[in-house]
Amino acid sequence: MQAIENIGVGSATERLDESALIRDAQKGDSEAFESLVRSYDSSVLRMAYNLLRSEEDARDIYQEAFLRVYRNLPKFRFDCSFSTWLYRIVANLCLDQIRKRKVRREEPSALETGTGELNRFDLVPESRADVDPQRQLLSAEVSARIQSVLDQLTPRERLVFELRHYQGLRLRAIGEALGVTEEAAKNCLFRATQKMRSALGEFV
Amino acid sequence: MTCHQVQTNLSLFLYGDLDFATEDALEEHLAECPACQLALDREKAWHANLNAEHADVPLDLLARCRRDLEVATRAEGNAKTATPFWERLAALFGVSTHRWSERLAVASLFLFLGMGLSHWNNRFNVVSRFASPGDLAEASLLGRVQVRDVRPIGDGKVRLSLDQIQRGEVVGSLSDEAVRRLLLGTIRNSADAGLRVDSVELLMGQSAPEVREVLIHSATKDPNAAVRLKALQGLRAFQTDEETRSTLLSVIQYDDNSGVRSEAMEVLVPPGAEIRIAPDVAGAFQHIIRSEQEDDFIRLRCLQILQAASTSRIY
Repeated sequence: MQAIENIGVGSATERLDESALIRDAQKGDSEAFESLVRSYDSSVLRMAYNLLRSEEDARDIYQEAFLRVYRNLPKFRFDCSFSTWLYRIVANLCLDQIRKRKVRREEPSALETGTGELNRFDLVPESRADVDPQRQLLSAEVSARIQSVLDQLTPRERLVFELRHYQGLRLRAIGEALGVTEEAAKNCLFRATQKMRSALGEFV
Repeated sequence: MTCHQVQTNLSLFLYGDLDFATEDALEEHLAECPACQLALDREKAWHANLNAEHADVPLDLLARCRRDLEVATRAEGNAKTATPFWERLAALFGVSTHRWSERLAVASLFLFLGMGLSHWNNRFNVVSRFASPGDLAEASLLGRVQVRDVRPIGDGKVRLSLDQIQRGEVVGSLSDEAVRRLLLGTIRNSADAGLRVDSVELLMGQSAPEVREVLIHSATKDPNAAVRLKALQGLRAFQTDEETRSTLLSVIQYDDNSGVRSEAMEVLVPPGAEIRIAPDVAGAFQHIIRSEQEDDFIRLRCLQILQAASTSRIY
């Protein structure tokens, strides 16, 4: 989230530095390419991991997205910001994957990890429920409800919500990444938050 | 604005995505409506719950992804460079490069073409006329192209005259005049202070008059204190020279960097040596003792030198 915010409102120096990195990477400088990747890759992976809830799929998205960047970087002409271009690639890959897997119907409420399945309920910090069993139960219920409502969002709503709420992208950048207008992105976010509010408002 | 309108826009309000007028109206409503204030608190609460739901990526996953990507990009890079450019170009001409005679023929052809193009370029300045503005702009950013003149030519167009910098190398001894002139030019003209320092250092110990002249120039005029300091060290070799002495005095009196002033003082009156100072230097030191407000070290050092000189001699 930090990297994206930095790019969104970054200083002129940061943008210049990034432009210089891109130019060097375009000339085949592998260290410049690596620096560029490392500015964004944890955000990209986190986004894919949370959207797809699978280590394997997140890894595939990461690999495919940055390989596309690697192959097409020489053609990048600075018509848009690098982050917009990258998130367009990642967004399209995630959308394809979500659609392919029909996430809303098939997805379990558990995350696959290298050491087995991790129930999303377990991700809620202990401190929130304290030691009160009743609160713990409520917390688990909220967690399940959140998962359920995220699954009810359309792939595009899910993606817009992820990019705005978790990744902190501005609506204009989201619109550019998804190839829609800022207004359309806003409407999409509005619909997503309506659904979230209906499902979660009573629990808090 | 109604309560319903306010409550359906609370998330966009929290994200800061409402237009100015709507946000203003919403804030006005919130200030006076306890029900909507409660709704706002609830909205913040479920946002906070959502944040807790976002899973962190396992650290080893990121490391594995980076490793995979490195392997994949290296493989792609190798694939790109698998066939050398000249072989692909030769293939365009339908020439096999497996036989020695044909390789030699292809190499000769490219050499001939290269020389021809170079000659053509030198004569007609083809590159600067036909290189794309984007390439030239990039070269300009890298310092390889400098704009010498800009002129409007009507119809909304401008003509930019460019100087292109060609890269090259010169290897030679410091006693070689051409090498020395290049270094002297670097000290005077380079925008890179590091290069200026290195060039001064290389020329230290050289006693040619043009070296002394450039060192005096750098010691008084260079905007970078490190370069001035290095130039002063270089001036030790010319310590007895009249112009050098007055330069050192001027630096002691007027330089704004105390380190540079101290260095000039040490060059002018080396510590430990028998102190012999000229009357003009003694006068300048007395002036510094009276007028120096900020630099105690300089004032004290002048005092010490004058006291020592009074017990020896002022010539």
